[in-house]
Amino acid sequence: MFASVGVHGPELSPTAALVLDVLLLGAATLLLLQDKRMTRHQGVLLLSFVAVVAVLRVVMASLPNVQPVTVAVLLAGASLGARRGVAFAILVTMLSNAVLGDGYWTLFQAAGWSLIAVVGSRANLVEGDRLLLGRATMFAAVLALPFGLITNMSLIGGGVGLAQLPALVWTGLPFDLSHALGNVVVMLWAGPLMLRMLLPVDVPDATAIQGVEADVHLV
Amino acid sequence: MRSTLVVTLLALVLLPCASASITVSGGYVSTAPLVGEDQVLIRSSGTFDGTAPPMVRAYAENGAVRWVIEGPPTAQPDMADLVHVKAGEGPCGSWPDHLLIAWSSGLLEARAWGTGLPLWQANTTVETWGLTATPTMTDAGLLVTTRTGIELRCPADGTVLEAAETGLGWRNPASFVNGTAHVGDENGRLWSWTPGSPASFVDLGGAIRHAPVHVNDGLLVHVQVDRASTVEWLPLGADGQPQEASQVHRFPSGASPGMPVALSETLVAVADFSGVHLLNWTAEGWNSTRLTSSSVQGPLRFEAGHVTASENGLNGGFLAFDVAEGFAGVTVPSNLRGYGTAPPVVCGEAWLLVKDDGVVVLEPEQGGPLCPLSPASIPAPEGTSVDRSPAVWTLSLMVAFLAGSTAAYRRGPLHGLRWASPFLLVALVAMMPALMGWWVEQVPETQTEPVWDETWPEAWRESQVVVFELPNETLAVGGLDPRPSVLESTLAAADELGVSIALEAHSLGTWVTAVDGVAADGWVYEVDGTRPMVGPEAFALDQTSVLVWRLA
Repeated sequence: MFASVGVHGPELSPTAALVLDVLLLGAATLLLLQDKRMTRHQGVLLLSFVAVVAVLRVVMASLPNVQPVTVAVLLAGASLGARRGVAFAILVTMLSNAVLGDGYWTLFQAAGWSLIAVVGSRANLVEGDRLLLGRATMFAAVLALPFGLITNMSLIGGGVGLAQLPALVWTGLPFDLSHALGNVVVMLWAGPLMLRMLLPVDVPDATAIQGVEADVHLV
Repeated sequence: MRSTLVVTLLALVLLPCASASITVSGGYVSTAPLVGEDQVLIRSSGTFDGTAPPMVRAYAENGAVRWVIEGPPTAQPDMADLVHVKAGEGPCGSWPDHLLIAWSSGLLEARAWGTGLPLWQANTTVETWGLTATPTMTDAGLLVTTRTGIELRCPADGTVLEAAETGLGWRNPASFVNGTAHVGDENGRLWSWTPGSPASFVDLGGAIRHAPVHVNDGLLVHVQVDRASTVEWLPLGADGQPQEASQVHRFPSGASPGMPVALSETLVAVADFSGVHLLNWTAEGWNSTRLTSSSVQGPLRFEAGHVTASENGLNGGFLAFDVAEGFAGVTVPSNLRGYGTAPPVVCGEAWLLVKDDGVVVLEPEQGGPLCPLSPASIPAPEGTSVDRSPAVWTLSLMVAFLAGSTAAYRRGPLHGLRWASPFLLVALVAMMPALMGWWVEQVPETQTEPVWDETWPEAWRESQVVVFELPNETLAVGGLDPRPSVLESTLAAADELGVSIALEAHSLGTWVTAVDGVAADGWVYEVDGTRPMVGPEAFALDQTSVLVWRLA
């Protein structure tokens, strides 16, 4: 995918980069705030998982295109719904890119993973609190290709034109294969664990108990 | 039990990935690396079939190639050491810090020390071969032994100040003692020449293939004769000319002598097929001590209190003797084996070891703070090191098959995939560089507009053209011999134009980071108007391609 060191896509000025970051962060916050079903406990859990996955992505950055984020986002969408899934995708992208490098491509990575979260929310990957592992693995593998296509679009405008997009996609296919295989490994070995981390423990919500004054909620 | 097996298998798979060596590709490396403050220079002879030219490469931190020089093509190996000439001045002018290269093609050239850019060039006589002796810097100037004689040249511009004809020589540097140069030739003649006077000789028979060594106000010469050798010592007269060889100081020794080295006023180390001997001069003759019976046919080196050499054999290693410890043998801890003549060279706190096949190892790996190849280890196999990835991915695929089939048999296909997939991923990662190289060649051809500048000579149409679009000018060159890849073509063009190229090794190959000192945001390249999506090492060039480098 990013086979050419030195091919970045359009360079953003500091102001434009700041605006992009604010927009993305704003979108994630809005999506979380609009989700009235989410409790404080669930919010803390989600943010903790964002940190864990971001660290994982940074640690595994040296492996060509092995992205644990894809599986995490897919499962986040499947277990938490599209809104929280998309917010999760945006936050992980921004947090990990703060270490790996932030730029124009952040928008496309966030968009790609958001799409995966939405697909995850529609794909019926979770039955009760059990992960349908075979189905989830298949989706994780297949979604690597559209993700690669979306992120390749970020190179257009930085000296690369639309005419070169087919060549770009073609030469990136081995990396997309690496991404797909990495997703399979992560899903098969860590998928059920990730899902357990995302699904909340059955703690009664304070607001559901009569006579109890609730403290600050995220809703 | 199962998890232990997995861990063991993973360790066996990943173990070959550990590496701490450079492989200098193309030809033989038979001379010692030259260690500077911030770079290590290594020269390689061209291949006998002409597929690779002679080269000099400058390596910096982590084994990154800083610059490369190609020498004129020749079938003769390059035996002369690289010489670092410090800045100075003399009656003929002043000169900067520079590198002196004596090519076996007969070309003598001076190159800027930091960048490799040419300073001056001079052609010398060639009879089958040209320069094979290491030039020497003296107070009177640059002493250069050519194929047919000896010359004193100005270090500032290479012009000949004085010259004299001697016999035909090979690997025969000169010594300069009290204003007189002494050099041997292939007929066993020891020539002596004081610049401004005719040269004279003493006939010793055999062949002399090293610089005469000044010992106890005389000259030691290790003469090669048929299947043996003889060490001779000739006292120097008041006029600085060698007298008749001393009979009591005649020391018969083994075949194929190496290049001896003086350790003190009276102590010399000599080497040949029979081993390494210490010869201590006394009036009654030599007191000799055999240090080792290992065959050494290259130069002996005296550095950092050690005498070092390379064993020249199929399983030859390296030798080191500690002078302070009574010449006790020192183990050079390395698995590097093979034919070689370059002795170990001190680099920081480590030894730099080289064998003929071009494998260079820093032992121990860290090198210490003063070695230009530090601080980290010399890079892993991806760029220029020994490629172990075929072994890694082959083993990974085998293990994937075994683990996956066993798990599938016992618990179903999903478990089979679960156990096979990590090893498949390891295999894919290991073969990724090779896969990318092959995959790029499968890219469908697209029609592009030909890129041609009408101001270019018509003769360039049938050749590769390389263009560098610098901030203040555009440089173009064509008509060079076609090169198979973008990187090689770039380096050849840069050498022709006299611009420097800075390279950096990445996990997916070597990249150009600066052209003629201009780095900015990096450099990108286009071939025939199209920007390839792979590195310059991986992209194959046609014989009539137009390659353009411009700032990103």
